[in-house]
Amino acid sequence: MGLKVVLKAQGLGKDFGLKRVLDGVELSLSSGDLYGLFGPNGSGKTTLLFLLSSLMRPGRGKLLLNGREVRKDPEEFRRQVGLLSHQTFLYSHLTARENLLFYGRLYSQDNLEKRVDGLLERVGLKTESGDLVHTFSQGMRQRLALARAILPHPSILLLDEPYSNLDIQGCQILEEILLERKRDSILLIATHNLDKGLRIMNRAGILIGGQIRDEVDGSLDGFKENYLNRIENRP
Amino acid sequence: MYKIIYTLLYKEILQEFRSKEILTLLFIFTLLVLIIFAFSLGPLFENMEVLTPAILWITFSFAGVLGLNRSFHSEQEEGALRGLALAPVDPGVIYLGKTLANFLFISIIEAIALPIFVVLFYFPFQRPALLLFLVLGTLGFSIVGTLLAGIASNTRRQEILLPILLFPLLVPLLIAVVKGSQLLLMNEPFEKTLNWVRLLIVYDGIFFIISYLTFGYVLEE
Repeated sequence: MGLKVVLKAQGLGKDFGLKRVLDGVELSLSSGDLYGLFGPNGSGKTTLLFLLSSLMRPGRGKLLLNGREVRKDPEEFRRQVGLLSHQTFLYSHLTARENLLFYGRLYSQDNLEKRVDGLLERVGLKTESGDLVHTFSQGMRQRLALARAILPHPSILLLDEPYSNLDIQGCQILEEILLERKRDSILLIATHNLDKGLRIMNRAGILIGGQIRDEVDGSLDGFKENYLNRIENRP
Repeated sequence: MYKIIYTLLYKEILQEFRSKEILTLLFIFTLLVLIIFAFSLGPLFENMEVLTPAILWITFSFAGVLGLNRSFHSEQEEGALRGLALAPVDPGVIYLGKTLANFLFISIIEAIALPIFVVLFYFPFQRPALLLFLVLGTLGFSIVGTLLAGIASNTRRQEILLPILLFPLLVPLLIAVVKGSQLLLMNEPFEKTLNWVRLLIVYDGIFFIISYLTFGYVLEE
């Protein structure tokens, strides 16, 4: 079992022009957390994931990994982060295998070829491993993007609407992978799909008005009703 | 670091080999511009040694801008620039990989276009030092162009913004390569062109350091 990892967001804020998207987000995540971040469209879920992955610089507040500010050693932090975004980050004129090999080399992975072949089999793309990505359906791209995100064994895995474009089998693979990784990693899933998300999560929060509200830990009973009330009553 | 640069460069070459987007575009454009210049100036124009370097660099500059505009296209399609930004790699190394790829693609086009240019303009390519100006000029163009193409790729008006940003910065480089080449074509000794060579080396060096250090801001959201 790996070392326990603690990721803390302290007062994270972000503005786009005059629009305040995030306004002092407080969040503490540690290994074993499978955190569901729920919120309506435009609530800032993607922005928060970009801040938590260090892709975006916060306007206010700070991000700490095991008590150390992330911006002091961003390369070391990025080694520990995997991000599955709306965009797949893939190259359409490379094959599925070449895409994973490319990213694996950027992370200086050991036994890369074996790891890549294993991952392609895990996400159900073994027979298509030599096909160019631009011939893939959206669902196949999403599966490959999932393989890309977990390729470097990240201890922090951030997933933005991971269920989108996945078929039933794809959703099943995704959930199996998440549950396998749960013990040693921080997993954060941003979604507005309550029914799928709540099945596997052990913590959850609602991002609304630029802040995380109504956090629950352990039992997620009543969370859905709370969420729907929040959405209906928002200004 | 070298392994990462090789990985980035290999990826660029593999993609270009498959899509042929940049090289095809650059070759057709270069050929058309050279033919238009050749027809409009005629075969017996005067002051050839003054005009030809300018024609050559106008052609390569405009073709190069087209290539640079496409150089971040593969990163824009599925957001791969974010994938690169997220990797535990010094952004300067990513810049280096992109710059080398752009330098390579523009050099390939120059290598194909130069014999055509020699034939069309009766260009006396007898001084090997002309190659030095070509290499230093292309390197400087790739160094500045890659940084600005990266900046422009984050905007919606990329095709317009890149030449507007790039050409003013290229003025010293273009003056140096054209003036230096003119002196060589006028059969002046190489020593007389040394100031232009020095200017090109300093230009390339300064812009390389600036670009290497600032590319991280280009990757940041």
